[in-house]
Amino acid sequence: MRVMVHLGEPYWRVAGQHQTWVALPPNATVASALRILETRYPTLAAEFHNGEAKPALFVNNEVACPESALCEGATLHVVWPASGG
Amino acid sequence: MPNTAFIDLTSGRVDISPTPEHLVRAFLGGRGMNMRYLRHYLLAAGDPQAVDPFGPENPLIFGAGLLTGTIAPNAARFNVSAKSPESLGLGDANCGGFFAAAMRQAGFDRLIIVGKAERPSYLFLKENTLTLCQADGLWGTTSPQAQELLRDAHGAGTVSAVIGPAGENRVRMASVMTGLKNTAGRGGMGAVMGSKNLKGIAARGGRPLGVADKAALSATRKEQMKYLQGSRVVQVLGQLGTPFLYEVSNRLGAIRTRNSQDNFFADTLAASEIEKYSDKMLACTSCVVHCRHRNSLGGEGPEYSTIGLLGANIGLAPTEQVIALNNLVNDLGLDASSTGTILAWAMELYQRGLITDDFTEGPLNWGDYERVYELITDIAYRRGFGNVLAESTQAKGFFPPEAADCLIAIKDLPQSDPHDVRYIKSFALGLAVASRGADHLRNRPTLDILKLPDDVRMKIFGVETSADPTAYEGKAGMVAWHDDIYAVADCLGLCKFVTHGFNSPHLLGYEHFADLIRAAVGLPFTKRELREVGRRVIDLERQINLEFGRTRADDTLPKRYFDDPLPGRATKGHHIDREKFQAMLDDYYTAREWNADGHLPQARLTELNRLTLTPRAVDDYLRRSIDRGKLLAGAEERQAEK
Repeated sequence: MRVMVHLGEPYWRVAGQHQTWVALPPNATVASALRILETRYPTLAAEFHNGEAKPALFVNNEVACPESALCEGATLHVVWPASGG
Repeated sequence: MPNTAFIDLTSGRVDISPTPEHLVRAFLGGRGMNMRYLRHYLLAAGDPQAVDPFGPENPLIFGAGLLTGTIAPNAARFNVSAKSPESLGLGDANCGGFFAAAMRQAGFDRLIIVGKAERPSYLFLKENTLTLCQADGLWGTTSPQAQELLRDAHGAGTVSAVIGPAGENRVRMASVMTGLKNTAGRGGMGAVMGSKNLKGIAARGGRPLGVADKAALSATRKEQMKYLQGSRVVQVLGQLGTPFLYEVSNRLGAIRTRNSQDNFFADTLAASEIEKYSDKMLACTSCVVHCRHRNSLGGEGPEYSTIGLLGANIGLAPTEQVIALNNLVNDLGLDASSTGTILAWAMELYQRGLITDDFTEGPLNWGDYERVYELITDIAYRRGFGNVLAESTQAKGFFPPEAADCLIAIKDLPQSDPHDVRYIKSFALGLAVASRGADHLRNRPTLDILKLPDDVRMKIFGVETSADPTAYEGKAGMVAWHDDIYAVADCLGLCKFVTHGFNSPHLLGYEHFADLIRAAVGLPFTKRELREVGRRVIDLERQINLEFGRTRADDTLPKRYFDDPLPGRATKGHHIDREKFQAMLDDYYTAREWNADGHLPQARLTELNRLTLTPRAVDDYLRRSIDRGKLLAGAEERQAEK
């Protein structure tokens, strides 16, 4: 199945693009999609595992976590988790 | 030790004295020390509830943080405090920039201003002297113009804190400005300044601050800078500024939109769009973050709060127009948060037909840039319908009774930030109990969004907490913890962006603060003692609020947050349950060791009385000042009548 990934701040700057498709096996989870992204854009791995803030994840506009299931045509948003400024 | 100047603008009398060391140990400086003097002066004036915010007896206090102006990282900040003309309660605004460092270098850590100048005036600080100067040529100027004129008058290197037309006209949400954007914005401190005929305070620094151990302070700064620069949050803030916060709130469905009737908005306000108008990033005194944009439209900013409240909240999407409004409110000296909230309130009242064209003097539709631009200017100059909105939350009396149900304010202070708190319950509790009203910078538990592991949260907060942002249980201790550390940061003059717990668990905490204080001031503090300072400041602010007549019933949220579920995106359906909110409030009072009705235990009140109601000599001085002020004001009125 294919999932559209939208990369938010500051992740898209590391990847060089705001959005990308990832191909996944059936019953794949968000964690699988993130692993593919880390392989495709190695510097993203450092961003995702910086020890300070794990990305906030949304699948089809619902709050998600790495264990969340994906489905064909799903949209995954990966954004920095912060609030207050 | 710091110096405090007592200034009576009515008589022109100035007394300068060192701040007693026992008060420095109890309150450090900045916000805490301001609160100490605020309570002292309000009680000395009689009944705090009866004090007219625009009267000569309302003390206006400028206080630099204990570390402000030293080389400690991000030690730029000061607080401006008074009885708020906006909330009619505790008024306190925090600000960065370069002014406070210059004020300290000119010899003053704190200015306590009472009375009213006979004519437009400004204070000039230089080499331990303080001069009251006539400001006739400055009155009527915008904030940048006034600062430019003061630089012309006193030379390059003069740094000023001024009011714009909004402050002169006593607009209840008028700010004190320094630089193009740095703003002591909350609670209408600019209006208090205007009521005293005080256009500005200009400081010519130059005298390096003495520190206890220069080598130790230098080494500590170097070490802490390296630590901070390793933080990814600090790096991102330095690249994008606070606009990067818009995206996650918007994606979540938590961006206040059209007066919180909606909860997500256009992507045109995201950081990557704001960045297109940014010339470069700027910093405050001793800053290692550099979070402030200089924009290509001639101003600085916008911050996330302004993007949200003068963008999404009024239904305005074009990036350039939002930046233009940002520059406008800064030039006129208006608080962007209050202005955006009050405009959105009026727009919803118009949308619902509760006010009509004849009252608003024309259509007032969402996203109408030209109308909003004109209306903001009218607010600052108190013209037409703008004169009504200039009353901020106090404008309720001009609208039908049901209008209050649409007002996004707590304790009559409009909500500061653009984040809708119906989803993250700890954010809601924080806003409800914040001492100055609806404001996220008093205690926002930003770590709650990170869903940290149990052991990490226990290590940070020291009490059981919940990792579920939608849970009501396990939040009170988290909010109380943030109350305390943010209060200490404000007392020291440090920026939240380097303070442990503000968007990252890897910033400066109590141990770092203790190292800085020891090196800069020579006073030893343990981690426990510093947190106790934070607790004392929160308790003092609670007591001030109680003396303003606030009760547990005021620790609440806008009606909409309880009654209207969020309409879309990931937060759809979330709202605040009244019963669970009350239980969360009970937990919070327990965490703070307050009584169930929100009052302080007697032993704590006794301690605060000991620290805030002495020495007698100051009481006597104040009484004389106020009596003289009232006499002179009365004489002027009698003269005018003749």
